[in-house]
Amino acid sequence: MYYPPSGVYNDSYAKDLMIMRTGFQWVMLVVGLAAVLTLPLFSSDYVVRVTIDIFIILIAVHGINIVTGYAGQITLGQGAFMVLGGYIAGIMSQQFQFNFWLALLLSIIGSVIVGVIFALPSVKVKEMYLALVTLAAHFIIIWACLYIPGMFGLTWGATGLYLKPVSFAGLVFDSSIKFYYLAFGFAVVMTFIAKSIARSGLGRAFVAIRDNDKAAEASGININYYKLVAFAICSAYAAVSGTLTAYFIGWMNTEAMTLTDTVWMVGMVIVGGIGTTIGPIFGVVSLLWMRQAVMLASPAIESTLAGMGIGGIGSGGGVLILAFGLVILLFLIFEPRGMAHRWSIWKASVRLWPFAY
Amino acid sequence: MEFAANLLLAGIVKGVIYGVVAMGFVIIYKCSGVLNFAHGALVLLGGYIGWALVFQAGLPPWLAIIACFAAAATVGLIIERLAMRPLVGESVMVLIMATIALDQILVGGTVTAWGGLDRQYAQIIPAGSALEVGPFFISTQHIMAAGIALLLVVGFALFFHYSRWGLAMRGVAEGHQITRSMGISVKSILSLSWALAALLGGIGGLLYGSITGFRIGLTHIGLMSIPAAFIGGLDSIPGAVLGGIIIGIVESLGTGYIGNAIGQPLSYLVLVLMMFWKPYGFFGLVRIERV
Repeated sequence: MYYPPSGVYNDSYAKDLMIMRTGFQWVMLVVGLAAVLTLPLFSSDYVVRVTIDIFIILIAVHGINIVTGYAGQITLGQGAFMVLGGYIAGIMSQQFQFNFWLALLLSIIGSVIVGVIFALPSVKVKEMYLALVTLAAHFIIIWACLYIPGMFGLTWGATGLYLKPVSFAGLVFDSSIKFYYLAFGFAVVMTFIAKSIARSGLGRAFVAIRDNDKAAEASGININYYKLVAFAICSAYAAVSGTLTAYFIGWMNTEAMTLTDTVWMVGMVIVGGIGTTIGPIFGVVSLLWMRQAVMLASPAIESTLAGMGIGGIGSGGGVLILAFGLVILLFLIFEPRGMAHRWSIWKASVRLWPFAY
Repeated sequence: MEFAANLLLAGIVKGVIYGVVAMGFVIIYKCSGVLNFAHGALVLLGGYIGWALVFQAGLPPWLAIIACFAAAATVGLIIERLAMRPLVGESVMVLIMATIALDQILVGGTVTAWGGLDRQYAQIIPAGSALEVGPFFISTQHIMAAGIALLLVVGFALFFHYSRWGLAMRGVAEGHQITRSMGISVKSILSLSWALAALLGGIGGLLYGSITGFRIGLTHIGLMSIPAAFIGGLDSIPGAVLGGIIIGIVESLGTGYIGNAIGQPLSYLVLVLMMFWKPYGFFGLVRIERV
């Protein structure tokens, strides 16, 4: 919920739908863009690579947010759709020498088709059953990616496939700093699209289905059609994210995205704030940096545990999983609306300071 | 033909264990309407507690098994009190995410406490020898595990059908307010269900761990039991066993004839096809929504 400062009125629909409402928001946009664009100039390669990861995962998390946060359908298949997108793009660009944009387009189309096929049962059942279908989609897609392209000699089986760096218009994105700007461009465009879906009629139809599907149908919304559209959008986001992942790491195999990664991405939606466009940004940034922090600390954790007489090799990874689970559970119990809600409360309180009501 | 018959038998034996674990899903589903994604982690934790009691604490197996069941049930009670009770009345989506978070906490806790490496191959149920009955080859260990599992299934089915507690659980599944107005404590029924589910997880962990070894991969049985619970109908205990056996056979035949990694995708393919054909499973209660 956006609480505008005094003096900002919604006296037309166009104004109500606008993203930028005040001069201060424009200032913050310019400052924020400048900060992100100049980040690689004064930070280490490690920070740049983590930030690229943030951009790529953010795109996939926006997809989950549209289908879970807005349309109210649970998906546990995002990681598999990313793998699928990465495989399609990789095969198209390496085996058939398609350029980056064509490979990306084909990856989106393929992912959307598969996504809609798996979403078809959602017209019959809802909620938990859908979590099951998407879980099934995960296992089936991962198996198919592992074995089927290999049969035709398109990949090296479990090794997956290798990709040459992205190149178009004379630019080759072969270093992490160059790829940083590419990934940032995609993240900005996909975030803008996500916000635009949320504020258009499409997003309102999704919200209506989420809040009360019977009332939505009575209002003339074709529930089945919109559920499939939500899944198609989610799969498209996964395909973009998966394609970027494949090009960024330079190879793709079915281990690139596991069920654990999918669970992390769903967790990012919850921590950030479900059903808001800014939520995924909060969630991805905070959880990915939490992961880095715990991973950096894990040797120390392992030696501490060994000193206490418990644990073993890999205990640091266990602490990471434990911390993630605790964060999700605490957010669900104490702040189900996520960091985005806290952020808007904090903004309002700053604006009213020192004369709060 | 002999190959197929042996695969079939192995599938049935494995399927009965899946059925026991699937029963844990069914119990939670019956009382809270949610699929407990943390069940695989309960299997893992139960198995590891049993392993630690026998091989680290050095208890005799019978005592270790009893202590392990007590510990598993306690874990179930703690989960219900700390994590699930604050979320009573929330939407199904929140509950599913809470169970996924619980899964992460339990798996993370197990890995933290015992490390990520495989533990030594340890049989709490003795391995015994291979029996040859006509064309079939089967180990006595598998027969024992399947026998224990079948006894449990029958016991739980009778408990749910005839005891007052079982009846109260079925009432809680229908609606909390109505059950409370009948003088049944919803809180204690929910606690009991979680304790029972965790207990079943622990039993599954001990049985499966004795056969395959104690390792983090024990959560795999949780993921295999989801299609089992679904195919039988998520709120039916006999259905869980039937589904377990079907999934066991599908996995066994698929692994034998197609390839090693096909078991899980094939089971989930069966789940998806089942969802088109009978969305509420073979014995599940068909819910019809009216406006």
